[in-house]
Amino acid sequence: MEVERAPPCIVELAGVEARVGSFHLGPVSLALEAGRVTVVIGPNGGGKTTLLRLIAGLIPHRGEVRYCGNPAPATPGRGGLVDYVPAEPQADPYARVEELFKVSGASLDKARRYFPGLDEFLPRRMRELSSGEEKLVCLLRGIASSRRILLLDEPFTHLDVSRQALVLRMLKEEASKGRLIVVAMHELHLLSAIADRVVLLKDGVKLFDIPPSEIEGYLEVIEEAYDASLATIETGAGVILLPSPVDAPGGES
Amino acid sequence: MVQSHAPRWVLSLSAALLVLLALSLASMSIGAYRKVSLYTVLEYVLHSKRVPPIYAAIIHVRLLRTLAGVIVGAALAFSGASLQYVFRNPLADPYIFGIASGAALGVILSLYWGQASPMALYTAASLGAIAALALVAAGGVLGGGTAFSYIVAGVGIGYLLWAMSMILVLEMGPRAHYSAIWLFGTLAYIDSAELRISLIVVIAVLAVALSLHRRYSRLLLGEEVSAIYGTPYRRALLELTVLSGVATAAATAMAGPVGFVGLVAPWIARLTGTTLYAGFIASTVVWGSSLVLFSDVTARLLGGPVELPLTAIMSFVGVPFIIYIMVKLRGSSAWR
Repeated sequence: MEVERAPPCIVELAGVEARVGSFHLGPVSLALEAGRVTVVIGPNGGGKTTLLRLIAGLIPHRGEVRYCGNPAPATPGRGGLVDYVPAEPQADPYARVEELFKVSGASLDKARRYFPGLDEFLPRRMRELSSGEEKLVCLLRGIASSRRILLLDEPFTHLDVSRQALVLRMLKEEASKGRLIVVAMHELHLLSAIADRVVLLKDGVKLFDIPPSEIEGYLEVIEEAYDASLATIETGAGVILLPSPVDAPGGES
Repeated sequence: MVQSHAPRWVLSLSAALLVLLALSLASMSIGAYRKVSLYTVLEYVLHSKRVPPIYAAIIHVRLLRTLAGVIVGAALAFSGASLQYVFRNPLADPYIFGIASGAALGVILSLYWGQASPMALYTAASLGAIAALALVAAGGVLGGGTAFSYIVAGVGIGYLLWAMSMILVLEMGPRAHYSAIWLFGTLAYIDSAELRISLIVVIAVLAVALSLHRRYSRLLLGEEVSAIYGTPYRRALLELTVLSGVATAAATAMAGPVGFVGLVAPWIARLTGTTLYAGFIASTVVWGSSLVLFSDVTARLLGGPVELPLTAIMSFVGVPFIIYIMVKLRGSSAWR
């Protein structure tokens, strides 16, 4: 399936709510556009993963999820629309990398174009890979799938700088080909490099949904949500947010 | 697709088939009554009329026994492989999980109540296997759903059910001797009616499982991603445990509970071949048949007044193997 020619579409969440154990998400309303990378940020336990799993159809929920104006199927994967890469790899430790590509129908050629070193990994078992390699393989598998909506939970964890840069490039390119990408992450300093849209979730509630150019104006909201103070660096490409040791929890001032 | 190397499962399966062929010939030629030369066995296979009747009769009996070994091994190996696949548990096995003991208790209860027809025995074995599975699953979930909790539940419940069988057997009086040996697994008392039922059941189970191989292979992706690709975990869990229970029952009704085959065979297949379901199961099933024939031939070679039961011989293969797996997986996430 060629995602390049897909008409731009919107995933609409209309007042969706879900309960997982004692955690309650929503009601959240959100419009996610194809061709964009939407980044969901927020403190631990804020509902980022639950939101991704809800969009993926993995948990029962109230409220409607629409795709291109039509109700999306309530099944896991939303009837073949969605791919999902969880934060921690769940693949069988004895499975070989090539087998994981095979069972999901992901394109090896596409993955190779982004990461020419892939062939070296293909015959290896997941348990033989380092945590960073394992993560990269799972990301490549999701990137190389033909599904139009791609949900990535914590795609930058375990990766070194060069592989983080690779993930940035892949997400930008995939979005430019019309894929709808939603990323949950903690790396605030990467927001300006990756996000077309930033959503802040805390305690299951959406606090804002803004373009990254406006992020400086919401600095206080972010600081309050995380209960931390942030340092900022102005660059030509936007403002970069960094954790600041001042006012860190447990500090004196 | 990268095809720079021959598919591993083909190599693993070919090796397994060669081993199985050699063991089958050995199984036909070796026995307590009279040794039959390999040449005679081959002659019987090619032109049965040329072989003297006495040899033909011996070979016919051994042919049934060999076929029974192949079926029992295939069923238990399939069962262990499918349980390991869906539980992601490196020690899942119909014997360790108590399923074989459940099937055995079903058979013994059926005999105790005077229901000895093959249909009654197979039904009772299947019900016993599935009841044991349900108990072990409940125990495992109560224990936190870890690999460890399922094993503890399985070993505990398995012993309990096995002990109940033993008590019933001793109550039964004159038939106790036969049944007590049967409780350790043996191919010494195979009859052709049972063999036919087991053969049909095992072929049916394998056909169903293999026809769904794409669905089950997706389990490799993990619970959430496999669901997204059309394999809901709970449904696969239910299907594969029921198929495992039925296969274990078919093996156990005929040969009694046989240990360790379902543990060792999948590991040989996994370490030498593929983890994709179809290739993995094909290779596992052939290795399982080979292991049972090996044990049975060894039992006959050792001779003695009473033939050694299969589980006694498999223990000498299986226990060192468990220790090997434990050392190999030390510190691995597979234990969590």
